[in-house]
Amino acid sequence: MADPLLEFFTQMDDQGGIVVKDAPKFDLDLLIQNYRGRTKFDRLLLIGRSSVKLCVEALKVALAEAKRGRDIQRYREVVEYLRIAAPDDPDAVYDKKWLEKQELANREETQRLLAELKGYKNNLIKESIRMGNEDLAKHYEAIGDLNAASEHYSKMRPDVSTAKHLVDVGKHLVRVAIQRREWNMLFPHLAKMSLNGQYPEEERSSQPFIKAATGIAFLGQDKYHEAALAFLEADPTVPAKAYSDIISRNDIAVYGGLLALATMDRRELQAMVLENQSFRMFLEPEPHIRRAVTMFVNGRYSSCIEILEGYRSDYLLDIYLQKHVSRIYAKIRSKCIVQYLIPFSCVSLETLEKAFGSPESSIEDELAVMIEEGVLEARIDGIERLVHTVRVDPRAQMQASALASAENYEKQAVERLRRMAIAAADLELTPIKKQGLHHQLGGDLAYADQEIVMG
Amino acid sequence: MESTRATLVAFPQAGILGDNEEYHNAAQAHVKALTKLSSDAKWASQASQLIEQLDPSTHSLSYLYVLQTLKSANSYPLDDLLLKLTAFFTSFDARQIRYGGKAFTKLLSQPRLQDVFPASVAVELIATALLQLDPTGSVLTSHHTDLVRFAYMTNSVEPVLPIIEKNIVFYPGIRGYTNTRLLSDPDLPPSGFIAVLDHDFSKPLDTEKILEHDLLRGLCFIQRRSWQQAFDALERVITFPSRETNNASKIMVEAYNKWILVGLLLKGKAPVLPSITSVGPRKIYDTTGKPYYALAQAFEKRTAEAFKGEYEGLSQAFWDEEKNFSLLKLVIEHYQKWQILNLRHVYSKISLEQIRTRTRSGETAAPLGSVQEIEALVKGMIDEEILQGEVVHPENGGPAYLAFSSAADDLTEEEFTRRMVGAGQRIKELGPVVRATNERLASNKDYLKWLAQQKRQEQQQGQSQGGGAGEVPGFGDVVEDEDLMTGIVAG
Repeated sequence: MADPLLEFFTQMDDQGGIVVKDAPKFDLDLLIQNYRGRTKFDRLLLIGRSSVKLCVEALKVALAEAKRGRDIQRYREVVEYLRIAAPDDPDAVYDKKWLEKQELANREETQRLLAELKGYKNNLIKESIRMGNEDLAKHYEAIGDLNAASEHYSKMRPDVSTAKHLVDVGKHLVRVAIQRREWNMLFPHLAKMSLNGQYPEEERSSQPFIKAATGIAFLGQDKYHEAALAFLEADPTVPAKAYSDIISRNDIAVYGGLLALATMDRRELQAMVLENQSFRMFLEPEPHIRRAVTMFVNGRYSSCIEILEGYRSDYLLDIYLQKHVSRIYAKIRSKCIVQYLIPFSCVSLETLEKAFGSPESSIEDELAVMIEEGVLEARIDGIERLVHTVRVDPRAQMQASALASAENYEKQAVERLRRMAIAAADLELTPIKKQGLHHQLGGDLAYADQEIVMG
Repeated sequence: MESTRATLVAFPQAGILGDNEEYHNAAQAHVKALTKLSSDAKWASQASQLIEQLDPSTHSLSYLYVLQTLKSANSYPLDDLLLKLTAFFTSFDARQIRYGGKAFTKLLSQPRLQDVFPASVAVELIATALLQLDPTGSVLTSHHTDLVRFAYMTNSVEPVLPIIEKNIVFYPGIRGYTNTRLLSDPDLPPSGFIAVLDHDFSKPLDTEKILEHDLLRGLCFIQRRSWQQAFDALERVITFPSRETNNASKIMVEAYNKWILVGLLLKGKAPVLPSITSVGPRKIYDTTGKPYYALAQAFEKRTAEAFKGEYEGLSQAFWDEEKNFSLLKLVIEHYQKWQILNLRHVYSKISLEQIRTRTRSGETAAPLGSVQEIEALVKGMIDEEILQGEVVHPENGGPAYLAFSSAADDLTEEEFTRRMVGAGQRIKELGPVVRATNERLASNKDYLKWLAQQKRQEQQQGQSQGGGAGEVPGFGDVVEDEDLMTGIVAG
């Protein structure tokens, strides 16, 4: 069994996928119960492709999930994976009969719904047209034609008559856009879902969905701080069913906590995460996130990092987080180091090594990189093995910027005067008809390569 | 002879200054008289005696004419001629010489001083003369271009420095310019008598000459290793205003390549093309400057192999053709220096051994062989004042290390004041230049036309906004700027 698995993950690695060797802490069945709809399959497939330990199990659950649905493309895909990863498994064969039957059924259903919609359109009843479009779009989504689904969901918009309809259109479009990874498209869809306070009930029930989708969109665009703020604002009193087709309660807690850790300072974390009554409710099922944040706020940075490292493989198997885990972790780590150094004017490298040292790289190199990138304002004393933090002197900064702007002003003024004179004397470079560059160099003039003397 | 002498000292009349107009008329009459005298047969034989009786600072015009006669006669002893020229060039009255443009030009060029004296002497003489004529150094003349070219070719850069360190903002020849002020006006800026159409002080200059002048200035500064000045001079060439949208001058291309290399030496990273660079040249630089730009990027990235690969990827023939090999050699040499310099942002003290392992030589792409070599390199940098710091050998026998001086980046209060006042002073000094520019433009037909047009447009806009019923305001503009179809559909 080891051989086909090895081959499978070599292939995944070659395709640029992330391979997770350590076993995650979660239970696959329990995890997947938190979701409904098409996202279930997507998540299972991702775990199957990434986790060495859960590969076959996840792929088999995904296969069952695909067979319960109507999307034959998904079925093909997962069987293909399974055939490489576990060729001897009884599930790793195409169910040709099911495939043919499902394909035919899908085609017939499409025709039926299209005909129905045409009928509604002839009758000119707005509500029927809206529902016809919705049915058709849902069907397209179920069979995996996301493009057509998105198109027909959009066509529902002209015929909406209640606030709930409007929110529904938005939810559909957002869901499809998330599946298609079109982060830019999410913002206009989300903006159209706002009801401007006229329908408090609908607004309340759609709030966590909107916040979570906004967070996912920002996360997809690497805007971690904005994403953190969105997740932290989600309303915990709305049942998870309202958004479980894109994200679970646990995910909101993890995303919000991790991103806040990566982008906020201690004061903000205290106020916006730990003292945030509504977000605490999200954090309840994920106590380790709360512990990590508490550790950070209390200045116990190494414990914070330790806790997070313990969950690294879990987060690497998350559909939205996977790509960002290493960057978020690096940010948290360098923030910890920066925060650690704040109260000191000077710290020995040994102490730092003890607190943050990792076997892979020396803390000195890591600090050097952080200083070069401008994350940390400090200087390393390589002889005494110390790190001195540098205090920015606002007076010196002000003086430097004053000088720079004065000098820049002078330079620009001269340049402008010169340009006016050139224009007035009609000396600009004007277009020529002939080929080649203007003004060949004078033949007698050997421009440069003279010896360059000392100044 | 006596009558000639009397004529020569007749202007300017001692003690009587007169108003500008009187002075103007007198000066013109005097030039006429001098021209007539100098065509006299006896004049040349009397010149050597006459000159002894004149003072170059009071009777500058007369002195100029006599001196020119002596110089062109070829019989006057060279040493004496040099003395007289020096006396004249350091002390002449620029207000008088405004009337003697032709003679002044002749003095410098017929025969050329370069042909009479050794190169460095000639360069110094001309530089002094030009600065005496125009202490602001803001007007370019053909004397400037010839001088800088000659100085560079003969490797006498030093005496020309006072000239090339000035910022040129005026160019001779301006279309439709009519001088509204008398030459005798003491407030007349140098641009008012040098950069005018009648070409007394300068032959007409074309774009090529101007570009070449700034390129040569850049080359002179490169020779002096004044990187900042060289960089600025070359930048003037590459940002030269152009109406060309697809092409550039060969000189600009040449300057661009050097500009990148000098930028690397100056800043340790690839320079960014200024936003004022015109479209056409910008396009050309993108293609012709590719090898240089790639080299600059590799320089920044700190992988010595990549850097080495970049310059070795181009054949020796390429560099020979480009004539930038000396500069390139310097850039390669500076590669490691910049790496060491960048360490100052990270370390306050660092052992030489660590420097050795952390930096790579640009030449071999490998760390230097021994700590001694590093020490020599670092000491060299300290001596050149590139680096502020010191190499310390601890008394307890520990490894030697480099301590960066911590206050290197901070200015002292006095230094700051000095530089700030300097900048303020220089900006203030631009005042007269701005006034001169304004004056020059005010008499330019094209500028006036443009102003009038601008004003008319403003009026028209005011009217249409007032609500002309039948007219669509700005309709033509909309169609011109946008895609025709969408414009019409949307409209």
